[in-house]
Amino acid sequence: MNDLSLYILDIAQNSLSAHADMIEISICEDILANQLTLIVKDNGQGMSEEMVAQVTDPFFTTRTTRKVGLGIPFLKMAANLAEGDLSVTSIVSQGTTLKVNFQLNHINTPPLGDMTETLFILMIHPDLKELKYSHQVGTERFEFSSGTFKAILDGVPFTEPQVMAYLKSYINDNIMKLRRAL
Amino acid sequence: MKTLEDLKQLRDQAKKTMEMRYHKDGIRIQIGMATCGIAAGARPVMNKFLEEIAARNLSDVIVTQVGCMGECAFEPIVEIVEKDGTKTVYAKVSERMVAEIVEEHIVMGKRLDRYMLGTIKR
Ligand SMILES: Nc1ncnc2c1ncn2[C@@H]1O[C@H](COP(=O)(O)OP(=O)(O)O)[C@@H](O)[C@H]1O
Ligand SMILES: [Mg+2]
Repeated sequence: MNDLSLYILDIAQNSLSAHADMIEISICEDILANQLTLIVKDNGQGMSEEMVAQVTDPFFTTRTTRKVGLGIPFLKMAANLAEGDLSVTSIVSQGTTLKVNFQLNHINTPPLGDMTETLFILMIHPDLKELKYSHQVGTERFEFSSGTFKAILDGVPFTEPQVMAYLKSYINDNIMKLRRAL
Repeated sequence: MKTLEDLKQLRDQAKKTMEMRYHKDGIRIQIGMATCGIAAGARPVMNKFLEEIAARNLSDVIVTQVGCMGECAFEPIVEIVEKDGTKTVYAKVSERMVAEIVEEHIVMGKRLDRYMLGTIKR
């Protein structure tokens, strides 16, 4: 995988597999500290301490369709290549928080990629009640919650053509504007 | 810049036009969105399905992501589940194939054998 938005989509799929109905994604691009921090937090079934300890090991997975878990080890490796690291904390039946950081200007730090596509695909997942997104660059911040959109839409689905076009450009324009400083 | 006020207007318009679309009752398009799927390009494929469905003014077609399909070498994998439960599995789906699948399978009801991994009859 070659951009952060794809890693984020993959990490969020773990949350959905763990039956989360709330996911919070936050990205902070701190130019002064030269750090890019990504946090994905969910309210899914969580993991035991023992599982958390194993989860960055590529040979650990609870899936039965394949022998190895790849998602988290991949992202950890990408972070390590950019002087960063990855950590997971979790509480059984409460949820999981994954945090990863990269050196912002490191040559190996993956580009952000198309966050709008990732966010939109997550938002329309039928089991997900709430997707919260917060993106900070320097002192500027863009935030939204899919629940706010849902409340306004009053039963009109996110995939309704005009609505889909609106939501994608609302998210995309705000992220572009925010990242002009970079 | 778009505001949330604009969204309220769109909602009111959409409520009026929603009934005028072609109902494709209960067809579900499922895209495998686990690590291998994503790495193989499942996200742009899912996005293309959403756009093709919107462009053809189809409603009641649900486009959704599912977990690992267990066949990494054939990703992106797309399953089309008919109202009666019949499943058609398309393998190595590219953005280019999506319009064809929507036009022929979803709109006309013809399976595209050349892209198929299989069918499971219910
Ligand atoms: N957010 C989460 N909540 C609960 N369990 C998780 C979460 N993320 C990962 N896991 C557990 O860790 C395992 C490894 O995850 P991952 O590295 O993404 O590989 P995979 O998803 O292919 O199994 C998963 O199979 C799951 O059991
Ligand atoms: Mg995973």
